[in-house]
Amino acid sequence: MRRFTTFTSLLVALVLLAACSSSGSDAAAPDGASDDATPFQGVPLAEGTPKADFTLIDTDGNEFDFVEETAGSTTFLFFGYTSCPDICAPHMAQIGQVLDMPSSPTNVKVVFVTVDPDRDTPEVLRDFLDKFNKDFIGLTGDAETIHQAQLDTGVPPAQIGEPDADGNYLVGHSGEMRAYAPNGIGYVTFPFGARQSQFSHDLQILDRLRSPDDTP
Amino acid sequence: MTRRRRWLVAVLAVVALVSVACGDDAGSDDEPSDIAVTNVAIVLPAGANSAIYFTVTNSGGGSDRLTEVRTPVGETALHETRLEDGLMTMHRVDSVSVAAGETVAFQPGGLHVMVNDVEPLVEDEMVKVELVFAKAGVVEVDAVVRTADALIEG
Repeated sequence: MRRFTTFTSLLVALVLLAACSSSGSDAAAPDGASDDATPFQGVPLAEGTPKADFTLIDTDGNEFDFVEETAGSTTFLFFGYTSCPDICAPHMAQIGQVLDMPSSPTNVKVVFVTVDPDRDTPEVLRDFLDKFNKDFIGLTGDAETIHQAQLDTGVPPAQIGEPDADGNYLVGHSGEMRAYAPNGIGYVTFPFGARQSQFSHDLQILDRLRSPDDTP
Repeated sequence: MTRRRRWLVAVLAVVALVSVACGDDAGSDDEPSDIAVTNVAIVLPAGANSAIYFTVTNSGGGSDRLTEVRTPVGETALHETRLEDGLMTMHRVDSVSVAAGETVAFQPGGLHVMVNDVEPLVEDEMVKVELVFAKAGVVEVDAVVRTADALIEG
């Protein structure tokens, strides 16, 4: 009986120990790992990803047809909001720094579409983007058009959270920045945390893709 | 020792063993913590708010918990950004545990201190920050104002 008890106790202890340690994290594969077949360091998009066709309002109050206005330029597209210091600001600052490098191509447009049009007026947007680069394009519009633009781009649409007692609310949004070559085709996307060296590397390849027949 | 007593001792031993292993992985709660806060930075604001980042190291024998971070330059809240269903979403957190011997990094895209309605700041200036720990009490540090890109590797 004594041996039985000791053995049983140990067994029970081991089972319980296993149970309490099995609740660990299941670490997902890190984003940003690039496929062997791609020359890009960002995350490759499905072959031949086109630009979404949408028209919004720029920070001067003019209509901005995304496909038309960015035709012929390498284009970065990001959906974010200005009250977002942890993701949007660093991501925009990264691409801003990359474009300031003397080696960077100059035929590049960066488009920031707000997913928080209630707070991000054209003035607020302009003020935010000017901190990174005065040429960055800020777009706003009605919530429905912005929602559809995200769906057509292929990113999960942002979700506006419930306001707290002070009226502040948080917004969940895709943290990735899509990149299109001058030929209008999207090749690669940069998840949050992408390094300047990765942007820089891919920018050189994208800049060479001028016609639909060009391949990376 | 009677049989019944022996059995009781065995059961108690199991319970003790399991509760030590399964209990708060932050170590013994009786022992003091030894907290150091380094790499403290506040983001040069681009919008209405900013964020504070730092590294907390607990080299003591007991766990501790960060319950609040204060700064005179804005309203603060402990936040964590998580990637859920493809969306980067910020969440409010009540406190952050730092186990004995553990280092917890607050960095872009993860744990951070949200600073709402932040005052205008100038790059490289120093800003006072107070971190409140359950055991270690108030730790005062200076945060350097950095541009957002300077907080991400390369």
